[in-house]
Amino acid sequence: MSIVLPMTLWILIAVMTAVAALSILVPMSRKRPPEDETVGQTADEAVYRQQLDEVEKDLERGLIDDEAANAARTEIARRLLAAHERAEKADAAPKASWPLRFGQIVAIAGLPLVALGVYLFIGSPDLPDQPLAARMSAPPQDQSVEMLVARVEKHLAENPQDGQGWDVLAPVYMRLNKPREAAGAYQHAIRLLGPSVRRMTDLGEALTVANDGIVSADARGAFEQAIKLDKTAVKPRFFIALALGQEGKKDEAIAAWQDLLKDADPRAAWVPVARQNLAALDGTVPPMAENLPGPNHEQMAAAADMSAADRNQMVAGMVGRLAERLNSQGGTPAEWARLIRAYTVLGKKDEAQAALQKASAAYAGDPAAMGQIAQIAGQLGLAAPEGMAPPMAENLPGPNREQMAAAADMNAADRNQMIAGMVGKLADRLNSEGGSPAEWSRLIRAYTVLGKKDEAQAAFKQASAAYADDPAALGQIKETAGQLGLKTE
Amino acid sequence: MTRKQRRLTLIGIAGVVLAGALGLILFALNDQIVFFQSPTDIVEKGVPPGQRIRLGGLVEDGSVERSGDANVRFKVTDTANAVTVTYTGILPDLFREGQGVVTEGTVGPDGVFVADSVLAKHDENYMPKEVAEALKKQGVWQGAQN
Amino acid sequence: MIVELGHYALVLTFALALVQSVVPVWGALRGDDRLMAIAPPVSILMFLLVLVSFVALTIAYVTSDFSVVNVWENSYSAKPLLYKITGVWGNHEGSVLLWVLILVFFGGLVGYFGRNIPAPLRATTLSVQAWITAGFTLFMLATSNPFARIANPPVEGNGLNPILQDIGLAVHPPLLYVGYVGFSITFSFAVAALILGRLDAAWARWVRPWTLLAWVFLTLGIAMGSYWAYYELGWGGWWFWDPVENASFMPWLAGTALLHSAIVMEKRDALKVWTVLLAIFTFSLSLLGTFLVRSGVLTSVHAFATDPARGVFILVLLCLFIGGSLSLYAWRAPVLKQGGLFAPISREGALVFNNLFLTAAATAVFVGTLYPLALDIVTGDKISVGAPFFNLTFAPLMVPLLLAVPFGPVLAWKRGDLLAACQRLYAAFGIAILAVLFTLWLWGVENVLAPLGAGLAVWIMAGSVSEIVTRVKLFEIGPSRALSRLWGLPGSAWGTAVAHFGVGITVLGIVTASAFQEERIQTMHPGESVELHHFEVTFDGSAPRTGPNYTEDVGHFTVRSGGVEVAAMDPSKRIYTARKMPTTESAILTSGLSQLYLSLGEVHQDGSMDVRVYYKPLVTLIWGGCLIMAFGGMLSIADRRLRVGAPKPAARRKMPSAPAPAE
Repeated sequence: MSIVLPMTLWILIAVMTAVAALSILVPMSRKRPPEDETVGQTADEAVYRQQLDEVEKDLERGLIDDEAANAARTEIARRLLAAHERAEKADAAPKASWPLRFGQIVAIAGLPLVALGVYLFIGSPDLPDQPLAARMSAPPQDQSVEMLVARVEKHLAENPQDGQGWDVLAPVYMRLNKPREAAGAYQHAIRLLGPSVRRMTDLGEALTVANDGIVSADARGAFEQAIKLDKTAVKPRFFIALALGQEGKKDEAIAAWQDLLKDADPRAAWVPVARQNLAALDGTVPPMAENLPGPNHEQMAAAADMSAADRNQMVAGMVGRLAERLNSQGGTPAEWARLIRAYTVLGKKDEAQAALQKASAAYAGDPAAMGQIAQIAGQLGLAAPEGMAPPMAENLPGPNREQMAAAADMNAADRNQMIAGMVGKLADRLNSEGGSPAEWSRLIRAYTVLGKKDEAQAAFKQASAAYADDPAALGQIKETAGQLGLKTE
Repeated sequence: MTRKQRRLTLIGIAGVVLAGALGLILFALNDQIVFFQSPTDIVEKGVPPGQRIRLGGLVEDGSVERSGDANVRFKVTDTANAVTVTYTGILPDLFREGQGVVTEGTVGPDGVFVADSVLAKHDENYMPKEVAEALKKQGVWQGAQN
Repeated sequence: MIVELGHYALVLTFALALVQSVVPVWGALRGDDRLMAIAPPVSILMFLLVLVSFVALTIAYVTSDFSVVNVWENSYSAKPLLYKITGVWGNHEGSVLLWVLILVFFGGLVGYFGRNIPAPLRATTLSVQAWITAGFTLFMLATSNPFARIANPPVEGNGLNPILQDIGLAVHPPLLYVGYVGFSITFSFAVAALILGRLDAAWARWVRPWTLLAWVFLTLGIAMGSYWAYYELGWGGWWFWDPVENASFMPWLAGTALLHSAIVMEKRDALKVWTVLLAIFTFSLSLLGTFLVRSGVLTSVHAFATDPARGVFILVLLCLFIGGSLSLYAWRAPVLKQGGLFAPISREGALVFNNLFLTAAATAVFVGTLYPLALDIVTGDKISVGAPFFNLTFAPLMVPLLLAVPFGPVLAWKRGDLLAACQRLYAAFGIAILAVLFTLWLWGVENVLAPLGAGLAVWIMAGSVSEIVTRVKLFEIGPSRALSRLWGLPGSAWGTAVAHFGVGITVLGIVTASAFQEERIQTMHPGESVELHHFEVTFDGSAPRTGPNYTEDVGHFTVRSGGVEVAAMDPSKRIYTARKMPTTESAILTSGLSQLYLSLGEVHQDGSMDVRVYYKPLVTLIWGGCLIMAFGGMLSIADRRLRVGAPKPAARRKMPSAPAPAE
């Protein structure tokens, strides 16, 4: 599509230019019938004749008297004569041909040159039309996340009672860093679908993020309700512990963290953060403690990991569409591999297996593709379909927990990459044009999240330099840096 | 009449009409134009009672008092000084406390401005240009909108 | 692709306009038919190309293509379709495109229908039109390109302003533009005549239909704008002497003068130099109006300074066209031969009188509009020139003009007999006196000016009726033969009478609606009534209501006349949710030719509301009269004689005195 359209455009542009050139060339070259050459002169004669007629009519109607009519007639006759003489005098002398040449050159060369030159300078010939309806209905993988969100928003504006829709949209908002919208969407979902541990927890998290990491009363209420539904749920307890710490209830916070760590899987991503917090509160860190690097950036990473469920939900939607397309239209081995991996990540092993079957059926005659698919299957610990050698299948341990975690981690890496891109843009802009203290704080925080501590420190330095004479702004920036464990002096 | 006389007559008449029109315009310009003043101008320089002026500024917060039959009393301020304004009639849609406003009328002997028209424009972001400039002079308003 | 096609069409128009600017006029000066011949096809092609551009932009609006910056800034996907389309010209870039579209439309019309015009004049006229086209397309491409793109379009547009979602506001700019851009063609004819050094009675006849067409649309556009302000702004006024209104009114005054002086030129070959000057002035005032509205100087002199590119560009164009044409005029006008003689008391004299007063009035409006701007720039003083200024200057200039209206058509050409003319107007004068007495009897003597004004209006109306009656000799030859003569009257005679009648109607509406208007402003509690004229308006209570994109407090009123319920009126106070923007929706009850006008002010806690009630007697005549004026103009355009000149060989050989076929 992107290749065909400009071609048509260029053809139409060429046609238009040609028509324009012809509109100059054709009339120039046409031979005029001899009668036409005097049209100009006889045209005014015709007007005066008509005026004479009018005088007669006025006289006939009695609107003017004879005297006036005569005077008018003489006057008009004089004009008529003058016009006639002019017509006689107009000579048909042969005209030089160089002006014509000039006109033709202008039409053939000058016109297209000017038009195309100007257009190429200011136009965007390679940009196709992008009507909203077409953008909305484009295949999802061609759409930006914003577009997908707009689609869902439109759907929800028309069907505000669709709880599932709100439930899908909310985590996406979180991902787009719109915690306020996410909280609203969760509230709708909870109203329509009823509370669940996940929804209450995520609502609380959204409120917390929207509140710059401080667990507000509303958020705390949500977490408490989640715990009411499931006493063992880790995430809400984690946030409650955090909240207790923030409120300064030291002993209760220590108890909460210890309680949380008591039956934790030591490999869970949030555990180091919990320990860190506990240590910060001077509580006794349980025995499995080891030395943990850097302060707060793990905390963020943990939070990110915890919302993996949300992300899964969104991925599920996209996966559904991908599966549909692959089933109906087929796809490349890489796309099949993506689908299989996605199913595995989502824990839908049966579907993954089925997709593997279909993919191998589709590429039965293509050893290279088969190899690629088989490799994926092997990595994910799926049973190799018939006719496919499971490369390392026997070496793999039972359940795929680790692989899943790895895959999830890889996704997190992708996301970090994306964030890194955005951060780069923000940094560029702030460096060249400056920005508000809030923007600088955002940049510093983002660097910390990405683990780029040096950059964060550098950004902080720049920001403090920029607001050296504005104590309020400086305070704000320092506070952020302090929270993130940067050196503020 | 000769051709010349005719032409002179015509030009004479035209001259008289144009002179008349010009006189009217000048007279009206002298008499009918209304100067814009800020509350500070009125307080510091004073305005002769009875002279029509336009007074512009912000409607002071909490100063609007209404009494029956669409009578309203409020203060217009440029943050340095404030002038009390009375008005009878319907206030424009965008008349609000803390918002820009332009009123037209005369200052009474008691120093109260009696307005016969009150203007606020049809856009919430719109700040009447005179008000914006008067406020800028006071260093209050730094909006980017014109 | 459609968008880019539209963009290219605009660029190509610019290139073609450059060619058209040079080649035909050069051909006309050299007497080379082959070079002149390109003018008509190129002018038509330019119209088609700009039409492609305009349609492309419209499609982008309809499909919400936010990759076009202009669409993104000014549209919104949830807008109703109608307002998406009208949104095309509801913004700076789009409205300039519309302006250019109308410009090339008039060029195309002359190219297509102008076969009766001598080739050199037509070629030169179209060249001059192309200068304007080139100037304005360049303005668009350089500073306000409607086809600028964004590679990664946002999901939603910014155009939420609800006040623009009104059908009256949407339709009246195009009408107004057709009016004042239409005068461009008269300007081009005038400049062409100066270049060619040929200006005669035939010229006036060729130009007349174009001037009339522009005038008709301008009249309609102004009337519509006035009605819009009347019902939408909720102030009950129909003319505010607002700079934007004046910007369209000045070309109207000058254009009206031009129409009349062109008649003198056509019939008597006189007033040539003056007519050409008026043609230049009329379009210059149109350009000035465009500049005032488009450059932002009206909102603030300083808005101009913050975004100088556009304002300076238009200012340069303005100086170029006005200054250039006036210099050309100063250089060439002395070359033009003087035409016919006439006595001060004559049809010509009356038309000169008309011109004098109309131009004086236009000058007064001009001064009133620009003086505050000039003063702000020069001294920094802020003043406002409002209705009092215009009432004091404009009205006195209009009175003698209106008094003279009935005399014009009954005076003879060259040397008129004032006494005879008066005799023919006895009846009209009598009717006018009766009207004055009737008004006095009806409303009393407290306001003497008002009955006189009403008498003046009736005088104009009766004058134009009596003119038709005299022309058909109703009382000399009896009704049946008069009827056939009536049918035979030329369109232009009808046009004059009808348009003048319309003037009388408008004046009557203005006089009665301003002098005898009744007004009540008060706070009403539910159940309370207000008496006005013969109406009793009862406030039944208010209720909130929710519309598609607004919420409103609606006041319910019952109107009774003589105890009988006549109508229910529901004015409201509306708040558009997206921008928290309040508007007042007035309710209007038309009874006969008069109107009852209700609008709401403050809504109080206790359920009472500030209410403004007007009774406006005969107010609809103001706009009705404008419609009649425009209709008169159409009648005049329809006059077959204006289309004469495309010579058929047979007709040309006819003897001058041969009777023409019945008209």
